[in-house]
Amino acid sequence: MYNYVMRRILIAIPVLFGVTVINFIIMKMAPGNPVDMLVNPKLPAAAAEAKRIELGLDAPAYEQYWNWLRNLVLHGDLGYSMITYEPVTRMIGEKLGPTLLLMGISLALGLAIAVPLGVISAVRQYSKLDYAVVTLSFLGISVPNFFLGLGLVYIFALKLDWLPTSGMTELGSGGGFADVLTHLILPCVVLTANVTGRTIRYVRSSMLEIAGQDYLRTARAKGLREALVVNKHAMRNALIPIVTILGMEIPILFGGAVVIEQIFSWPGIGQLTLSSIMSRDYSTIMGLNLVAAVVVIFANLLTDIVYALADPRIKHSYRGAARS
Amino acid sequence: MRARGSKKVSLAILIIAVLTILSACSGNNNASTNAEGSASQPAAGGKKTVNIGVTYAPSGINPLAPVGLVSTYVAGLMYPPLMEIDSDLTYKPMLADSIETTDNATFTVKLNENAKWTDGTPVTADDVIYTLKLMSNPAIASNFAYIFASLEGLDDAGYLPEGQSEISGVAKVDDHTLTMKTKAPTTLDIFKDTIGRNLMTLPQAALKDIAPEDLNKSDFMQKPTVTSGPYKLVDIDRDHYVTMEANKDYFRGAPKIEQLNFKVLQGTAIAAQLQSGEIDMNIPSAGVIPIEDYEKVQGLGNVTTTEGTPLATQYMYINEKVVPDAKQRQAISYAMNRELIVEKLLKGAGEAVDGYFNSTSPYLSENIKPVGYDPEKAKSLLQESGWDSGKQLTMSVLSGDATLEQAAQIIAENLNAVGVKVNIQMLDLGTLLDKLVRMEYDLGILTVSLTPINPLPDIAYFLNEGNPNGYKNAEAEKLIASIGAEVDEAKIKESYGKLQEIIAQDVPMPSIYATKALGAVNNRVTGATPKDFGMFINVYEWDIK
Repeated sequence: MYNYVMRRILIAIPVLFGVTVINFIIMKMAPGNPVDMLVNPKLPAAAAEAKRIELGLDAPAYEQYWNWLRNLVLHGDLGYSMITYEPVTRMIGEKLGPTLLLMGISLALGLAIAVPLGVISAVRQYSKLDYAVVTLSFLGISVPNFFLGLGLVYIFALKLDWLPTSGMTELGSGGGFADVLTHLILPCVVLTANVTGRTIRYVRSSMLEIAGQDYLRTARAKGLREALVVNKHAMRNALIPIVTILGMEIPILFGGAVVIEQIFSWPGIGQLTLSSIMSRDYSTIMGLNLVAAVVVIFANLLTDIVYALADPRIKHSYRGAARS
Repeated sequence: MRARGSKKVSLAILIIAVLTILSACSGNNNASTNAEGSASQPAAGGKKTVNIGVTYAPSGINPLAPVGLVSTYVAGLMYPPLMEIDSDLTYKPMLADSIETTDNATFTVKLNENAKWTDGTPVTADDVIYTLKLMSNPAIASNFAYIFASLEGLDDAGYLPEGQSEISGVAKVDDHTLTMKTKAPTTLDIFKDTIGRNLMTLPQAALKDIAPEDLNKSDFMQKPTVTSGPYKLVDIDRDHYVTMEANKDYFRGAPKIEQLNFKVLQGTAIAAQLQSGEIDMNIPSAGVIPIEDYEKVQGLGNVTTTEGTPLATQYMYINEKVVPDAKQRQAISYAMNRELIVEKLLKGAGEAVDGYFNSTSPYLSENIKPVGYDPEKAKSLLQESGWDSGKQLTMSVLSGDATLEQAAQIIAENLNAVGVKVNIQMLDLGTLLDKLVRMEYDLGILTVSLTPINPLPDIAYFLNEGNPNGYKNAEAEKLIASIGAEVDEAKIKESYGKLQEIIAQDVPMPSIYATKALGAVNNRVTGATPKDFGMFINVYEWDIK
């Protein structure tokens, strides 16, 4: 297992390298550059050139990439934003927390709701409850995030005036648990609805697949209580594929955060990503891309490890692979 | 039977858990209702707070090179410029009490003697000179340096020539007085408009240990700690908010509003947040309310609205390599139904314009008739010029502004109707600028705001060599040079008049419409008027009822 994890981490390094190279090339190919965006067009050519030198954009492209990579590898430094001059590591560091908070809670809540509902709905297939759950999950998947978000803002913030429309804290109040929580509710509901909708369907179909297995019939034939059959024999096996879904869910949430954070002005990396792309803030784009790649690779790795732990058959095959 | 029972138990536990979560949430809902409720009176915590909605992020608040309008406002609240232009287009004293000249070449700047840094030391002429040297330092590469290029001792880009450490045209008279000499005579208004408005004096004592090349990246420029203006920076999150607190020792008077916040919003959110009281006001051109929401905002009971000056103007860039004949460009201008756009799309909140000057400009010539919608004339002009009606043009339009996108549709239809085949391409600002600067476009529409007092730098950029339209006219260049050297207002106006005649003939870059941005302020705030010029001059007098 240890060997396997180490090997996966080592493989991740060239993957990350490749991701940054491709990102750099695409970014450089996109029209526009930070100097054009930052300065007004009236700027004398000499002044624009001074700015280019100051930002290090006068060097050939490969040298710019090399400088970026060297700083990253040697100093763990992602450079400075070309627009705000803030260190990129600090910018991302400040924004990653709120995004992870929002994503983490939504994912946890989503699973906490989806797994029991999915199981119940499978166990009582074709019951009224089953139809209700399936319909709700369908709604969760098909109602677009921005629509649900704006709708909730309209009802709970504007009409009922219960919750704030946007932000993470009330400005100047300094934050505090209750303050953050009230701001968290609406974006969290939207993301949770989405996660729940998708996950319920997987849990349900996975449970139904297991339900016809021989060993469940055996378990029942042994005279086991139905609860034990469902909770231990069926659910444990049904949840294995769900682990994979979870690994896929994290990158989806990461991408979906851009829209949600925009609607609710949530101070996470989603908005930072959008604004840095619009202003062609090269160093920030590179940093964000790297973080996103790390998250995806890490989520995949985690999924595989959990998968191996959950399913003894896979653990064996890893052992075999590690030995060879 | 037992199995069902235990399932019921687990279901019950689940329901209880959900209910607990919900009740915890609703408990907090109540808390927030209370907080919100009290916020519409003096704000939470008993502090007088005003929240200002803006639609542009304060991307860089470094006073040497603020990035964008909102950054400039925030920087100006920390570091007042020498003078600030007010809505009546006069200049109000800020850090300087007066700027005077007798010969239009040497300008005497008298600083307010009570001006103090937040560390208690006075703001002196040395600080001003130090800031000018930073501004003209190529290592800092400020994109505002060129504005100071008129000062003696600086090169044409506004930089101090290599090897020199002093600006020869700037001299200290006493602690609160200094003189600045320009290379060529200029008017007092232009001096105030360029150097007066754009120099935000920085504290020499606090910055002297930071090497100029490290200054942009320094922590001080991210979150300045020693300031002199009415508000101090508390916190900034560039894409979301800026929080500022009153500087009780502000030299023009302690601000009554204890906390001033800027909230970065989508334009579509402004109306809702004005209604809910989450924001108290907007800045017309920097917190742009979409025109669709004008009626809603004007109908809100708790706010007072103001109509802004027509500032943000849509210009059509025409690549002269593609449309080489002046008659063809005239035809394009005649073909556009500007009145329809103003009436139907802007619902009257704007005006039709055709050149570089609009009704707010003191230089608008009375002798030139505005271009009306005349498709027949456009057709005949095209015919005379031998326009190839099979030629397909691409019109590149700035994306993100719903009104502009609709206007572009109308214009494309107008042009197709007279025989100029046009298809629309929506581009984000970065891409559009890139295309314009490289002249890799046919037609382009972009929002430009010209300053009303001193439009010369903009006009020189659009008409002199190297402009993004590829336009060239020796006579226009001569006029521009003569305006730059003139100090007599009457003669300046005459020259601008002649220039407008040339422009009307050549149509290098017709404008289409200018929007009057709507301003709104909650009635609980007194003394504040949302306006594009001089909104924050009296910020220390604002109060809450």
